[in-house]
Amino acid sequence: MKHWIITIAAILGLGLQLGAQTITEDNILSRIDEKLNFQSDFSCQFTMVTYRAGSEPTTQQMSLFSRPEEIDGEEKFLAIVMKPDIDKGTGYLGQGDNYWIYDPESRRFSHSSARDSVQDSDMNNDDLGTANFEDDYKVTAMTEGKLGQIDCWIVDLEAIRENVDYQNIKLWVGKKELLPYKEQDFSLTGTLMRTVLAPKWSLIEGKYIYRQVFFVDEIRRGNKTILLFDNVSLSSLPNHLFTKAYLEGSSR
Amino acid sequence: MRQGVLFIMLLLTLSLGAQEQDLDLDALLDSLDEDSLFGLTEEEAVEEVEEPQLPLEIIEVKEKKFVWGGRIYSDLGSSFVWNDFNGWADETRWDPQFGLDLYFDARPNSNFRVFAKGKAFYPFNGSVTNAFSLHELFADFNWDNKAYFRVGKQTINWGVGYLYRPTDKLNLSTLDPSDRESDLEGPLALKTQIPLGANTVYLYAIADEIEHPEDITYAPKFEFLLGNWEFGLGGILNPSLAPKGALFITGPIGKLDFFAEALFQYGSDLVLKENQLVLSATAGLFFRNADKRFIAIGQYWYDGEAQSADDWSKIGHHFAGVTLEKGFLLQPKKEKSGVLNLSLLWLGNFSDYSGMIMPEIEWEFLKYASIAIGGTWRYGNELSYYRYTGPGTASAPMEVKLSLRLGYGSF
Repeated sequence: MKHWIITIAAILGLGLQLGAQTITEDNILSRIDEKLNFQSDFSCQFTMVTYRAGSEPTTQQMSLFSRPEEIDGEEKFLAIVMKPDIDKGTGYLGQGDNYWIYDPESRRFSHSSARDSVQDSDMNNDDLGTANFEDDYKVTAMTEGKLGQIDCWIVDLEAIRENVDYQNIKLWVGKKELLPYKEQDFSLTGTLMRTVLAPKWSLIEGKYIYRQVFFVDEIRRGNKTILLFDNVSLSSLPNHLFTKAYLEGSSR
Repeated sequence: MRQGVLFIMLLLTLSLGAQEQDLDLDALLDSLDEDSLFGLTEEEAVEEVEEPQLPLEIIEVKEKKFVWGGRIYSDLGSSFVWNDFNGWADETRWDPQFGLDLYFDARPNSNFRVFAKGKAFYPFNGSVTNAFSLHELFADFNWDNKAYFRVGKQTINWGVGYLYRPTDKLNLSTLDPSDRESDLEGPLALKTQIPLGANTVYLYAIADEIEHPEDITYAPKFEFLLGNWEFGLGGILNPSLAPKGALFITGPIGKLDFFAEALFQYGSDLVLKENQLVLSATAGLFFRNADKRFIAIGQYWYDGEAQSADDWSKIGHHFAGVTLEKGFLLQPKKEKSGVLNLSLLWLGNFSDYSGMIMPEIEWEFLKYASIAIGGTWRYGNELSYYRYTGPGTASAPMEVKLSLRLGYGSF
C-alpha cells in the first residue's frame, strides 16, 4: 500500500515538475503578467502616503471598489475618501473613459474624461492599467541575483512600443513566485528615473496583490510615494455600487 | 509597476490621515534600504488572506454610525476703501469674519441615513440659538437600490458651470463666482434618483414655503453619456412661474474640460417678457493640475433675462469670468516649508463694460495659520452691473484687505 502511495506521489510530483514551465527570457514576462492580472471585482481600503522634499508627508485613505472591463464591457470604479477630514466624503466614480468627482460640500458632480495624470504622486499612467509587460517590452538580458533574502531573476527590458512611460526597465523577479519585487525605470538616455519596491504581497484566491509599494523619485530626491492595501477582496460587487446615486448616499 | 486594478487614477487630491496597517511611517522610510525591506523570504513576503469580510462592509459597517464633523474658519482682517485714487484710504474698516459649519451624519443601517448641517457666523445674533441657521436637514433611503430618495432641506445639484450657473433656479442662494466652492442653500424637496447604468434620472419635487400642493415645483432631469461626453436634459415646472427647459453638456477638449449649460424659458420670472422665448446660456473651459497646484477656469455667460440699473428694457447682458489659482511650496529643500497661494479673479460685463478684478496673495506660514493681502478693483460707472448696489449707492472702486487667518480647518 505504502509503495502505491509513494509511486502515485512520485508520479504526481514528476507531473508537477513537468507541468511547471522552465523560466526563460521568452516566457518570463507573460508569467509575470499572469501573476498580476485578475479579472474579477476588487475592493480594498487603500492608503497613499506622499513625501515631498521640504514638506510634511500627506496621506490619503479611501475605500476603493473596481470592476475590470471583462465583466461589463468597460472598467468601473468607485472610491470614497475616508481621510483626511477636509476631503472626507469626496467620491470618485469611473466608467470607461469617464469619471466624476463628487464634492460632498457643494453636492456637486464634476464630470471629466481627461485621465492624463495621476497627480501629486510618483506614479505614472502605466502604473494604472493591466500588467502588460509582454506586449510592451522585450527581454534584453536575464541573470540571477539576490534582493535581500529573495533569490531573483534580474531582467533587463527594452520597450517595443512607443507609448510607454519608460524606455528601459530593470526588474527583480522572485524565482519562486515570479513576482516583481523591485523595478528600476530608465529614460531614453539611460538615466535612472524611478525605483519601485514591492516588498509585501497578499495572495487571495490564487491571485497576487500588492500590500505595500514604494515609489521613489530618483530625480527629485526625497520625493516618495507609499501605497498600502488593506481588507482586500475579490468578491463580486453589486451593480448599483457604480452609480452616482450610491456614491451620493455613501458620502457624507 | 502595474497591476490590473485601475484605482490609482483616482488619486487627485492630497491629504493627511491615519493608516490601517499600524504603520510607523518613519520606520517604513528608514527601511527603504533593500536589506531590511526585503529581509523576508518569498514565503514570508506573501501573506495568504481569507476573504476578510463582505467588501461593502468596508464602508457600510466600518464607518462610524454617527459622525460629527465640520469646519471652522476665521479671518481677522481690516479693509481699506478708496472712493478715488487720491491719497490714503477714504475709509478703514475692522472686518473680522469668524464662523463654524457643523454637521452630523447618522446611519442606523445601510438603507437609512439622516444628515444635518448648520452654520453660525460672527456676531452670532446675540445668542447661541440665534447663531445657528439650518443649512441642510434630510433623510436618505432607497427602494432595493433601484430608486434612491432624499427628503428634506437639501442643496440641489443643478448646473455644470464653475463661475456662473444660469440654469440653477432651484437652490435658494446663487453661485458667487468669488467663492465658487461654497455650498448653496437648497430648498425643502423630495429628490428621487434612478440610476440606469451610467445614466441617471432625477425628479425633484420642491415644496419650499408653499401653502398649497399645486404650488409644488417639479424638476425632472436626465443625465446620459455619449462617448466621453455627458449630456443632461431638464425642466422646471411650476404653475405660477415661466416653464423652463435646461441643457447641460460636459466633455473633453484635449486636456481641458469643456462645460456648458443653457436655460430656455417661455417668459421670465424676473423681467416682463411674456409670451416669448428667453435664452440664457454659459460655456467654459476648466483645467486643473494638482501636481502643479494650478487651476484655470474661463467662462462666458449670456444672460437673456438680465437687466441693467439704468435701462430695464435692455436685453442680453454678456458676462465673462476668468480665475487662475496657483500654489507654491516655499523653500522646498528645507525641513519645513510654507505655502504661497496666488489667485486672480476677473469678472466682466461686456454690455456695460463694468467688471471687477480680485487678486490675492496668501502665505500659509504655519499649519492652520496664514496671512493674506487681497484687493478688489471695480470698474465701470456707478450705475453699472459691478458697481451699482442700490438707488444712489455704488461700490467703491478700490478696496484692499489685510487678513490674518488663524485656527481654521476641518474636523
